[in-house]
Amino acid sequence: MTTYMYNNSRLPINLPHPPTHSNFIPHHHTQSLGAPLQQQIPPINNKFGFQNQPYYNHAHSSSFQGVTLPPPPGMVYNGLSNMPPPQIVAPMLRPAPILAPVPQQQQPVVSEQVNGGVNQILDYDLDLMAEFIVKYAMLAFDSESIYQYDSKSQVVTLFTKGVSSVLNATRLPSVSIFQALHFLSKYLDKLPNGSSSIGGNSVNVIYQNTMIAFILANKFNDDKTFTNKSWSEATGMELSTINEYERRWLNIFEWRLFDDKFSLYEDYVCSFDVFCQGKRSNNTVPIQSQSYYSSPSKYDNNHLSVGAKGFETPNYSNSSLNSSPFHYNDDVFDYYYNQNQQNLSTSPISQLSPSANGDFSNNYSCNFKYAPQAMGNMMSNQQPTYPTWNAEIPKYGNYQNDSYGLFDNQYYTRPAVY
Amino acid sequence: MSSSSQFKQLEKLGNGTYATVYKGLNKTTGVYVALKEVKLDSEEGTPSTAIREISLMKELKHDNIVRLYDVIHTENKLTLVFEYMDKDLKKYMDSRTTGNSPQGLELSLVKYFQWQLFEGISFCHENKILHRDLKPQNLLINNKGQLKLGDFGLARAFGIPVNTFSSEVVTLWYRAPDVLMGSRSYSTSIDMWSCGCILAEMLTGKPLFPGTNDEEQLKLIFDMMGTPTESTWPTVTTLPKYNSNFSIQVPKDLKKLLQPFTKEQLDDIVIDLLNGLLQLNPSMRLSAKQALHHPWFSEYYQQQPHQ
Repeated sequence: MTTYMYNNSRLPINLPHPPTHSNFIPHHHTQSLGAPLQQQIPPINNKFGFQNQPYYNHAHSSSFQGVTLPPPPGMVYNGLSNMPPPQIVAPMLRPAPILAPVPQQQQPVVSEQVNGGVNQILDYDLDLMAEFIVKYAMLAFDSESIYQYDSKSQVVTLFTKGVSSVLNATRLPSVSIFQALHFLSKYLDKLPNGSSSIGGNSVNVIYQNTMIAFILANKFNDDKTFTNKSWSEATGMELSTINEYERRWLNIFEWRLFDDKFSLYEDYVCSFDVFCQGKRSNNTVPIQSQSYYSSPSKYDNNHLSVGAKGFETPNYSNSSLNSSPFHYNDDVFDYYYNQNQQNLSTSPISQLSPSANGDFSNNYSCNFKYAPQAMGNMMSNQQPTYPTWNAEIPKYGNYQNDSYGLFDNQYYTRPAVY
Repeated sequence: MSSSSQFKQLEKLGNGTYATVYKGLNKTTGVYVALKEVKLDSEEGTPSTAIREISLMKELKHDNIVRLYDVIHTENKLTLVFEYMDKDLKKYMDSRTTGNSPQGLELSLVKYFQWQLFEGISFCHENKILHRDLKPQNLLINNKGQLKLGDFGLARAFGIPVNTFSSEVVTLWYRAPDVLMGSRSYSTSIDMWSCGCILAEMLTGKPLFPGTNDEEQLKLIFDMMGTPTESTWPTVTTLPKYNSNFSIQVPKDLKKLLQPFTKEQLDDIVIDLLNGLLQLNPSMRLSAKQALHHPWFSEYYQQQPHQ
């Protein structure tokens, strides 16, 4: 089957000679802007039951009072029939302004040329990272099976575009992104009733909480940080919502953002690499034409040598997707696809890291000793042969015999370090 | 979780980098505390300095690190409840100044303070945390002679990639030459340089390198420690702000330079420790663990039965 091929037009191969000057500002989103897109996206009648999630009284009011945002594409509103009118918490997909960081407090800055974003040069491919984040976040919320992760689906595509826009504006380093994903998993784990404590696993909830994770990771980890007002502009979330969520997060964490010293960092790096490998293999792109990480060999010694075989079977994914009992409702999908086709088919320029020049090793892989939370779902239950990213989206039926007991432990495998 | 009504706010103790500090009394326990108040601005949200200071200090429970007891988070104010300390090392040294001439501290006291400084910073480094703003003002002391590290507003976790480290850290006088020349790949050695500056300052009563800007700061350092070259410090010439026109100086004899200002005769052992901390090349600088095992402290570690 050829239907489920990753959209080739989005591949980094478009940019064999990425610009190297430091002020390179990707034009990633200009094309989606072209369409005025004032159309109202009607609520979808989502069949998968998450509208039954109880909405928590605590403090969600602000996020659901219809903010008039520049309209989609950003985040699809998944219609909750008994909810207030659709509010689309959408990142604004105008050419994302590159945010100027908060000046550092202490010393007069002499050397820094003023540059937007945290990093001038990204140490990852922005599109792949956005997809990775979306996939991870959905898994962390256990909603992946509901949406049936599929990079072509409307919900996923819009979510991914939103994340991509935010990354473009903030230019967070990968370490802060991984930290954010880790925060997200930990946060859900700390909630007394998991994601149902914070409004369930609708895309809005997932998106907003993922953004809060970014904010906290940026503030914790980077020397260049943004005000919440800037985050509000970048994410489309209301400032008051951000402030409220930020406080709630810190409260739930009891401010202990570093209690595990982020010892799983390298597992995240590895998961992302595996993800990228899978994507590239699926698209039969010559690996050697791309480079993201300068020294993958760093991990070679410490990880099991599992061949990349699993990543080279793109067709494997199709049957799996189509056989899923939770496959996307075709009508809904078509509707959205038609509505937004022009936006979806843009082929944004990928942000390659101009400075990275190491070969991306096709052969290295990771040993998820301490399966990083949601990453554990994505990877470790497939051992010993790593699947393609899209190969085997977990189905409920699969879990029952799964030694990882994913459903006993509502969210993910517990890393040994906790 | 405390509430602010639990504390009686007493006199103001000072202004931190992003907060005002008051003395406070815990009305329930009768124990004095330091209340660090951070005004919250809705556009900024929770300040990153507060997020770091709190999240890092929660992991740092050590006799030589000021204890963070609690955090009170209200709509427009964040209050950090700290262990109360009588004064900071800067104020203490100032109080020892007679007339206009600063005085160094007694060698035995310098040694005791420096040992505690190393114990505290060693614990930070073991826990993958850089302080990044060590200076006498941030070393708090109490009437029992205990010294504790405070003000972790600039602190940062390390051990994960360092690609966004800023070179605008550490108060100028205590800033390491590699950082002054724009290095962003620093690690624990950044704190060790500051420890060296602090040691010299305790010995003489005055700051070792009181520069007024980056260039002068580097000049003062090179005048005393010598100008680095590729042979003494490989890769130094590749640092962003390395200047091939630095005037060439040879290292001076620290003992001769410092002796006129100290209270007691300096011995070669403390000078050796100082030289180990003030290595221009960060990879040559002593670590906190190494410093604790320096012979100058032999009287301390020989007392410990298990070592």
